[in-house]
Amino acid sequence: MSKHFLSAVFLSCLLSAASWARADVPPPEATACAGKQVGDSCSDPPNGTCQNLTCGKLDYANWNRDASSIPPSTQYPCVRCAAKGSSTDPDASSPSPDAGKPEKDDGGGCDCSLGSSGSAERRWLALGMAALVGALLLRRRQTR
Amino acid sequence: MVLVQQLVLRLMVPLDAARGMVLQQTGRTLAPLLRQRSLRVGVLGALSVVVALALVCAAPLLVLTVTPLLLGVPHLLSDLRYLVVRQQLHERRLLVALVVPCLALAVLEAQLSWGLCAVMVTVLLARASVTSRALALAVCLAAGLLAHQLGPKAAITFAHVHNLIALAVWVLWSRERRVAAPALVLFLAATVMLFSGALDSFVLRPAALSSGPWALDPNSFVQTLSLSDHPIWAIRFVSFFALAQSIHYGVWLKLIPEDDRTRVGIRSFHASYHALARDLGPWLPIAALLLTLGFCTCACWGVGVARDAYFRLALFHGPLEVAVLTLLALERRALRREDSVSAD
Repeated sequence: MSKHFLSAVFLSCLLSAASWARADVPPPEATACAGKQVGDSCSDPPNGTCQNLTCGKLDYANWNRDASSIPPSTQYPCVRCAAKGSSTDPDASSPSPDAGKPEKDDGGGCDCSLGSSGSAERRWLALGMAALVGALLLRRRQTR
Repeated sequence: MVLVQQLVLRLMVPLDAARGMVLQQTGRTLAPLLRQRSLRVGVLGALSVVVALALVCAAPLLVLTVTPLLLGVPHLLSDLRYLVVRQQLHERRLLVALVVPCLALAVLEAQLSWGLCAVMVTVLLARASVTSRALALAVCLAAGLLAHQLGPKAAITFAHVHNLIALAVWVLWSRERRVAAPALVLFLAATVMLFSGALDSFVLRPAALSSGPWALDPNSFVQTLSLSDHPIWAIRFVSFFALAQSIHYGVWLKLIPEDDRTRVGIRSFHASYHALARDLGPWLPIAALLLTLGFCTCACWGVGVARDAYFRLALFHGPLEVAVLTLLALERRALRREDSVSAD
């Protein structure tokens, strides 16, 4: 097993990771609408749809600790999976600690292009490619 | 390839020139540090804790957002260099053939269970007695059950634990264990100060918790790094992670390389690059450099996106560290350094 093999695996992982450039390990309720449009069906909650909702999060930047032991909560528009007919995210109305369950936030808005669902084939393909590249490089080195 | 290598070597010229100028000015004052490795490593270790704590108190969100983009990929490279290549594990074909797919799946599927799978495969392939391996497998299964019980908190717990693993590796790597003591004591003191609330006036300042173009929203960090839902404890956990992560980078990028190499004195950038290319081949360092530049460029458009992409890529290295340490423990092997490899 050579450094070339190690390089091949590392580079293949990089290439694979690049296809999930907008991926993270977000909370399950955020991934439910990953890569979907508003109105698409989603699975968390079961039989839900991706909807434009109002999400809630804690506003740490405007927290006056002398006035309150917890930060104030703030609301912002987001796309989340919810039961049909919802207009507000259930977490948004929670007044305290639990209010801080934001949609994955990269500094504004939702990350709706997560590719975590429905792309298992691409992952296995990437893995297969990694193995193939590694095997080819290994073979090339052995034949030298 | 040769052109790229020449370009990298040219980049080293001004760096080494600047280094030479600094050494000319400070060489006499710093002579004991430059000559004695143990003193230098001890001071660097303690300094890395102090600097990390100062940065975390000043701008925790900036530290959490930006440092992975700058230092993340180089530290992954260091991980591979010292834990895999230096230990000559890349020469064990069956081990690589079975563990690499597990680690690749840990990246692709973002599942901690694949990391555990990699550790279990390593245990099975360890050159150790059946009893030792069975015992280690039992521990793995217990860890898996615990992770299942913890649910989403398991990944957060592992993220925190993996930062501490670097410190453990450094202590094991040290030629003189006592040199790590000041850094460990300082780290313990900083941890106690963070969790006792002694540093709340710094880390809970509104200015410290304000997001910006280079600092993500604190809520996203709370959600992915905190083991507590209480806002104050959540920020303490996030700050602790920022501290431990910064030290983790320092350990892999400076302290372990210092302790590993045969040469007692310091080394030029040029020589460091040659040593890196000798260990890993020419491609990996260049790929890592390009990837770091890529993440930094990507961050100019969306720092959160770039950070997320880096962390997705890095998902393999925590399980890798655990797997290698487990293997070495089972085989009762000491960590190999540069001189022990060249002596073989």
